[in-house]
Amino acid sequence: MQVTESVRMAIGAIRANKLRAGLTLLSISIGVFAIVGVAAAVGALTASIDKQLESLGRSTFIIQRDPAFEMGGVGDRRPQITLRQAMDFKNRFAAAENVSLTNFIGGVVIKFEDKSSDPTYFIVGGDESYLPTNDYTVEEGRSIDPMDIQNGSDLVVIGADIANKFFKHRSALGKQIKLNGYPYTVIGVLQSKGAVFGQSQDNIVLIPITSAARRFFDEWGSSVSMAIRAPSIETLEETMDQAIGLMRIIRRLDIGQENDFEVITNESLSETFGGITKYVSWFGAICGAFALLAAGIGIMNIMLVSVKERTREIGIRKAIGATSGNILSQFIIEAVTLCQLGALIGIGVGVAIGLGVGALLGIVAPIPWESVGISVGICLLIGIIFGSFPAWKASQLDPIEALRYE
Amino acid sequence: MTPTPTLEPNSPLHSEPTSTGGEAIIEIRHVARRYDMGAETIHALRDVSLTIRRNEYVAIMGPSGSGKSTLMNIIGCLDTPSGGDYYFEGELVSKMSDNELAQIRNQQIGFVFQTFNLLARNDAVKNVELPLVYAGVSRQDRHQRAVEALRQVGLEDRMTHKPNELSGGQRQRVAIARALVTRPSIILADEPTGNLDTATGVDIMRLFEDLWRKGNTIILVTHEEDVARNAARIIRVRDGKIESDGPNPNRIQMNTPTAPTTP
Ligand SMILES: Nc1ncnc2c1ncn2[C@@H]1O[C@H](COP(=O)(O)OP(=O)(O)OP(=O)(O)O)[C@@H](O)[C@H]1O
Ligand SMILES: [Mg+2]
Repeated sequence: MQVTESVRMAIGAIRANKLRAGLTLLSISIGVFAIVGVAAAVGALTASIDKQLESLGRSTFIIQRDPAFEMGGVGDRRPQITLRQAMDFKNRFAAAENVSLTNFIGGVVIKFEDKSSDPTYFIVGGDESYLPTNDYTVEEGRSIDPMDIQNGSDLVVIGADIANKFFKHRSALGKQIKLNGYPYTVIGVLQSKGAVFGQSQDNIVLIPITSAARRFFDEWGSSVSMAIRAPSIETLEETMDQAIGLMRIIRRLDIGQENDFEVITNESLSETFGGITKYVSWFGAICGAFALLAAGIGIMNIMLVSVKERTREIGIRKAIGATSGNILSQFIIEAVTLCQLGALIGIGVGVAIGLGVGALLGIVAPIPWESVGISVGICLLIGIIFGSFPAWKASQLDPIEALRYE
Repeated sequence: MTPTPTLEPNSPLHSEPTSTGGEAIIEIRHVARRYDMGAETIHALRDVSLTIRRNEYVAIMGPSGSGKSTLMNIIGCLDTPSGGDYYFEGELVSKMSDNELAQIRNQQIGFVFQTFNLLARNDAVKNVELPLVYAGVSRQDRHQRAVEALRQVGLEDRMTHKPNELSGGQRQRVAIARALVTRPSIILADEPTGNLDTATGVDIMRLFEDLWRKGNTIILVTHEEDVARNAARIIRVRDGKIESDGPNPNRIQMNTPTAPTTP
């Protein structure tokens, strides 16, 4: 008897027991979804991050105190990169086309007249190249210029959401807002950039880094990060070496002492991120595998019930010429078909989630073929392993006993 | 108590097929079937011997619990004897593997049950096709042959009905079509009219008569004298033993309008 015939029989049997089959399908789907969904979501995230890194430019690298993804708390033992060191670096480093200094201060309250925000805002301390580097355009007013940096002026450029929140129908320009109580004059409002992954990009508050250092660094112990653009991709390595050398001098490191700062390139970033996502994918796969194992035991139970219920059917089939092998393969194929149907649903939902996440991030998410393959393989195995025992029991039924069964 | 297996079972009537010329397809020698029920042993069959030739029409009769079904199941290779020998077409059944037995059930024997034993999920055609599935017949041929078999039992207009959409008589016809579809040499029927009213039962018996005339070997179990009357030979069983075995003296030829002319 051909496999197609058995599959057809299996689908018939599944349709005859919709509820039971549905529950089994559900448990399989959840397991597969855990594997494929996580992989798809991670795939979408990775693709999106790669794209964002790409937009940073390949010839740009970052020097900061802490690793991009901190695993062990190395940063805590390292001294901060102070604004003085960063400014010193910027002034002395001739090899770069551009050095941009940034620093983030979290948990800030914004206040205008009697209206006050939650303490959930981030302030960016930056310089004149922050906005172009990060793809922001000024809609009204102006950006921070080198003079503002030099003077450490208390000026602020705000994102579209903040402008809307505090200055609904009037111009924000020239108004004075308070950041954690310190007065800042609004000199520019940015064009809206929309949301990425449900996170608005228009809540930005940009002040000159010199002002940020004066107002906030003591309290917040901040460390400055420097984005350095090499003149070209070809000179990237060379520029990096020189930058590291200068940093070591500025940080007064002895020969033989390790760097007490991180140099991050696009490549190193996506590598690190790739490492993390691998873990996440594996985690999803392991969770999924456990879910599938549970589903497998469920399948075995359901198949055992099914064999019991269909004892008479088995008797009839044997009486008209089915061999034990026919019955065995029929029930195994039924279990496998059930598993693969569940896998199909799980893959469908998982891939849909991946595409959904991708859409939120504004990219076309790749289909995680590897996970799809793994899922199909695991489901095949589970169908065979957990279907075998019930199928074997079915195949060993005595035809007469089976026909007598009420 | 000794049965007479060498007895010529049927005195040929004019225009009826004879059994005398046919070769023996079923030879049962001192067959016993015991059930061990812990403390006691039930002797469902004790020392049964009989021979059935091609194109015989045999009725097995006897009171309830006498061992008719047990004998039938052994003949049908659904059950194996605890003692004695059973030769099917000259081959010793006890020497056959499970797969060989399955093949005999599939190709050589058509079993008709009292309770029809159709698959509830499948429509009439699919039910009739089932033995062909196990015979490895292609989908297309299967369908064609199933339709043909259903036509033979007069159910061509009920082909896509499920068993629960059919009357008892119609269900039994489907079961008979299923038994016929592999063109087996023997049709075994265990109380085929037991669940049917008299008129429907008569219809079914007509069908058997018709099949017999076309050359099939028919063995049927019944405890109704009316039903047994159609058979050419009657074997009476009691307490697991053959009480009598001989031609049916009261044979009534059924008026079979569907039967084609016989040679
Ligand atoms: N599986 C079994 N286990 C134990 N005893 C059995 C089994 N099958 C049949 N028997 C016994 O064997 C004897 C013969 O049973 P069988 O079914 O052959 O009778 P029967 O002649 O077909 O009766 P009926 O006309 O009621 O169908 C009975 O006494 C029955 O109880
Ligand atoms: Mg019986």
